[in-house]
Amino acid sequence: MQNTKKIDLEAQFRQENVDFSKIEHARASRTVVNTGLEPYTGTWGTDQKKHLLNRVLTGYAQRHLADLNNLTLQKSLDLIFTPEKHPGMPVNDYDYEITKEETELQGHFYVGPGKEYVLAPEPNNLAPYPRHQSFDAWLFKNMIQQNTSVHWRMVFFLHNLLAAGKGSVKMFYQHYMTLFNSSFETYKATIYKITIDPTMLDYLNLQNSLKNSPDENYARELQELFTVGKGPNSQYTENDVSEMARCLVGWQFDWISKASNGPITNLFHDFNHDNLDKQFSAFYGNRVIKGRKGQDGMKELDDVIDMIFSVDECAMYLCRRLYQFFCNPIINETVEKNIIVPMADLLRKNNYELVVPLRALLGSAHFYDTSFYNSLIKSPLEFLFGIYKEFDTYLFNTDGGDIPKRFSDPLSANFYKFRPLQWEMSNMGLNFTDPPSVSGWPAYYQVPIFDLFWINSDTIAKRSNKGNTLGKWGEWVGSGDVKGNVHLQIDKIKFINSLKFPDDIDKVIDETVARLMSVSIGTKAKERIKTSVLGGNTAAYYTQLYQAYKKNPTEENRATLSNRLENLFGELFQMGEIHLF
Amino acid sequence: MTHAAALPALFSSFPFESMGIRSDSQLAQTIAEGNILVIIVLNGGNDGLNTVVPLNMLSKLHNIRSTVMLPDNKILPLEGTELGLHPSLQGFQSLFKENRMKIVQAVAYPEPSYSHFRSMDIWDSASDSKIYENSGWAGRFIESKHPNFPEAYPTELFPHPLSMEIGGNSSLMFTGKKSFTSVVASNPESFFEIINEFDNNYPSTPIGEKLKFLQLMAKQSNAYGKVLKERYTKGTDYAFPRSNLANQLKIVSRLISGGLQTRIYKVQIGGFDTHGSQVDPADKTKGSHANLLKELDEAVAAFMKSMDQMGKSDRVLGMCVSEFGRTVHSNGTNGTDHGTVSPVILFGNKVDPKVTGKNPIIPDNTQYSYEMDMQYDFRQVYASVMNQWMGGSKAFAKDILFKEFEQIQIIQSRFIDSDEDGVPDVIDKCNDTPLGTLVDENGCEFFILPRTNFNVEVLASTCLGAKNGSLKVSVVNTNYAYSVLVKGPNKFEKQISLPKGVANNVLNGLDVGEFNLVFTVDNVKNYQQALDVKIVEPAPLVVRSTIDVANKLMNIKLGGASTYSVKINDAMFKVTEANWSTALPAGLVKLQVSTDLNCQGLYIEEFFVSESVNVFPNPTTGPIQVYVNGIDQRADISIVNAAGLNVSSKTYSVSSSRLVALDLSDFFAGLYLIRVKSDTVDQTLKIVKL
Repeated sequence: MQNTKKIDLEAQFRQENVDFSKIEHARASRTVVNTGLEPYTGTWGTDQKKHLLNRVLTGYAQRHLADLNNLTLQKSLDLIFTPEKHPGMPVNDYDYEITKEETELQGHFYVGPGKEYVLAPEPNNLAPYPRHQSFDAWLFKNMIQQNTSVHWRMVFFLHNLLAAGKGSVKMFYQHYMTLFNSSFETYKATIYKITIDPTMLDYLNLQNSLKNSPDENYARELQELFTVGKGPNSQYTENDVSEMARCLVGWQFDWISKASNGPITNLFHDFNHDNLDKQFSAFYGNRVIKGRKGQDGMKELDDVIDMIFSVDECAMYLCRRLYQFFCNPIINETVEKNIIVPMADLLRKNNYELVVPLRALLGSAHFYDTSFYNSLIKSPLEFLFGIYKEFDTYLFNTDGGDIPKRFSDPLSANFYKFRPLQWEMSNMGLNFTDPPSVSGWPAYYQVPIFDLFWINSDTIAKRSNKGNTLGKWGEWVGSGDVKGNVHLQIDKIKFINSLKFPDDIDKVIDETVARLMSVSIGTKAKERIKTSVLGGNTAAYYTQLYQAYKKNPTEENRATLSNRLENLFGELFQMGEIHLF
Repeated sequence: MTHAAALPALFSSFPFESMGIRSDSQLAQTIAEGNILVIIVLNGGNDGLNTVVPLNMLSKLHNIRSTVMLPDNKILPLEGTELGLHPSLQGFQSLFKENRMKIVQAVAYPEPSYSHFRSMDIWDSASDSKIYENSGWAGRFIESKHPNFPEAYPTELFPHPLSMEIGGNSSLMFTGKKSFTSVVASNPESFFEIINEFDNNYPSTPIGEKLKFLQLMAKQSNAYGKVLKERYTKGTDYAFPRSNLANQLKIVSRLISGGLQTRIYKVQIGGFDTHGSQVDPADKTKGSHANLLKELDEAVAAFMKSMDQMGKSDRVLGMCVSEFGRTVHSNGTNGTDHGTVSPVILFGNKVDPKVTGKNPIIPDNTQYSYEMDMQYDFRQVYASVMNQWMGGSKAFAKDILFKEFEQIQIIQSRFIDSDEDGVPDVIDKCNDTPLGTLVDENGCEFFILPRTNFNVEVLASTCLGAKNGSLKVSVVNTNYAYSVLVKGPNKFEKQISLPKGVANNVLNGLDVGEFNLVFTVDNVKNYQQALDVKIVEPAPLVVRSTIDVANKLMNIKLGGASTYSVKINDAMFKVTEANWSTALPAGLVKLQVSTDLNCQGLYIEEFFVSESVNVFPNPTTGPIQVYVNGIDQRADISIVNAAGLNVSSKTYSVSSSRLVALDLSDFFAGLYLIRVKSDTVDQTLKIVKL
């Protein structure tokens, strides 16, 4: 049984010599998917449902598949396009991390435990560090506890498309809620709101733009990345950038409102606005945006948006981005013709509501071409959120030490539970609230790498290591007050109990693989994992072990079974297949 | 047969073989023992003015940064400069004394950002302040040097990580255009080994493509992990103080001592954002900044000491950078705020140990927002490090940094080898040969053809003065056009050529003497191959003749030439065999042998070939018959007794029966010699008289 042959990895590696040109060549030689936006009428089975769920959620889990039970494709899409309830506001769940005195010593405004902090004054530039962590944890919690809805994935999509970061907690809350609130709205409104969003004003310098030397940063990205793109048919000029910068100068967020209680408000400084006419190029139909005086100057933002959205290329660009994010990053001529053009048509006819062409795509014959199933590499988000979603967790002190109250206190438990996701994802290349640049993550735009970007020799080791750790020791959340380390353990037995045949190791492996991955693993891998779970014993031994636990769920029986299952999850989480979606 | 062997040149223009070997090993040498860059990032914005203090400005500094200014008598002076170091930096002071430290003053970039993140991004990406660049300079550097990274790595030549970040995440600095170029490790000893199947074949489907890539990266990760663990285990632990930075440098030191071939390392130390309590008001040599500098100083000193101990300090260049400096004025909380310029400190055995840049002149009555002038763009430092230390030409550095930056002397000229070919730039006439190119002593690309490509043989030797020697010049590789300059005795000089596709050429009319042939390849500079050959006079003519009377054959063995003229009596033969036979004439034979070269001499031999003679009966009582073979009609027959007295001598006619009858009846019994002599006969026989 044991595979004694030692594999010389280095030698094997040298034989491989995979390079991107070979990958591109292979891609080019594949059969072109000819289908278009016409509704899908084929089999509506588990494979199709999993594919849809993989692409519309922030991490797949079994419960979502259950939600689609007995639903037709159209009914499933109805469910998926149901907006989520507004998540409300995060509260101080980090009070164990920083005292009132310390908070105030650092020049921050203190908010009591359980109290909302996102409207609290921020007299300092940033908020206290644990509050930043709390905000991230809150964001992640909402995504993990999502309904079977595309809503949070739309937030992720918009966040990547309209990438901004480096803000404070108060700015971030407003920023992400703008994305959340406009996910189902017309994208024109999204652009209006994001232009004057405090995080964006700061990130792309509109905040510091001056009438006499307008900062062109935002005006450029607004066109290049947010609306018309930089494709061959997008022919805005450098002069368009300058003129647009002149239209937008004057907008700021109010520092005083940031330092006061309540939301951050916007200001339009008409004295800092350029009220002369702005002349645009032929790309914009040689449009002149009339200079507006006084507070009327703020309406030039509406003029700019009207002008940009009057260009056909805008919808084309946005639909390409939708297609790349939700279906497949590679767009060839066939896709451009059969998918992007009709999607863009829908988008224009539906007042630039992104969800309309998106829904058409997700219900199309094209989307359900089997070649797209599991053809993408998960970002760290789908990888980790998927595991977090699939398992219940419990706290455990690995050294038999205490579990301090803060980890289980309902006021702070979620802080400690979801906080580690921030550094874990960062380690793997996705620092969610701090995109690498205004272009978002290279996985969604960098030709020809795309989703391969997520994986390198460093990040694959981190994913594998984290997977192994989660399977065996769980996620570290903090130290015991007396001794030891407190870990958030996945409840392996509870998971096994939910399977159809929890006492048959072969079936356990098959069912677990089917639950956790959409692509099956090889028989060799299954054999290896089975050997590793059984530790030299027979399959009957496992059955006895499980039955003994079932009959008599003592702590000892539970621990023995749980220990056996460590290798099952520790090794499954290291499989390449788990990273596909 | 008589060809003189072509002699390999005793000296050519340069020692071809030894040069080739040196150059070959240079690549391996560069990889295994190349220069190492250790980047120490001081996060938070280091207060440059309290790190390297301009001594000319002391009173002014006391005035405007009174709450943080160090006491004059505690500042460590740097000999020969108007600068002093923070009292925590004793190790740095020693390095400076040992000519192992360089300070570049007032480094920043135009249009400074005062945001930590943004400014660090700018330093990492090495972009203009207003340009958002997604890749880091080190990442771009590595990807340019290794275009097939990461898919095809590790390779046989580069089995080790190309760069390493100790602790933390992979940073923008090492983010390339297509992937992370660094291996991040906090503890190489426990590098995570991925357990998986690694020999799966995947189809060329989208899923197969991704699974194959995942498998490849997992293998690569394990391979690097294995290498790191192996080198780390093999390495030696040197004495380091206990601090976060020291721990990181200790790992680097141990990996280097274990033979890791990684050439860029990054370590970091945080906490330099000293808005408050930068100094202890009671003792300004103490406080958070002093502690940080002490940690830096001790870690660097220990690191250099470990390098000295393992004999590798020649290979190391350290560079301390921070995202910005701090305000010149101190603030109200015993600290300083975000500023712009700060010094970059470099250390290593080969640094140019001078201070680059002038001391600042701080005007009177400055505002709080006053900033000292930037003297150097940090990208000048990067460009110089790349060019002078990391094997990047100026054009290369320009590519990486998007524009050209004026160089700063970071490394002493005599050590700069910007193309890492082993020939320092000061004598390198081609200092941008690609890595791995064979170079000559001038550092230029070394065009290589094996010596066995060239051959010369003496086709014909000559007698002195006769000038009919000839040489055959040949090459194996006919893809090139060659010129051969042939020089010989008496100022003989001739150029011959071997055009493309032609393998040989023959040079005639050569005299005895030494010839020197210099092969050059058309359109290839700095390449030549010399061969020497000698044309000597031929060996003397050797002739051995034997005759086989019974078979009437004459055998002649000939030596010393290839063609011989053989004259036998009046018959002439042209002989090329070394063993030659011809019919043996009877009687007097005159043999004469000569060659074309008169300096080989003439062989002359005369001999007599007798017809056979018989006497019977023998012994006899008296009458005998003498049989005389041949055609002679007369024969002289004389009889000599045992005492040697001639007892009879007469001329007889030989009848057609060829028998001559004699009678010895009157003679005493005894032994007699009968000698028969005629034109073709000269034989003596014994006969016994009874």
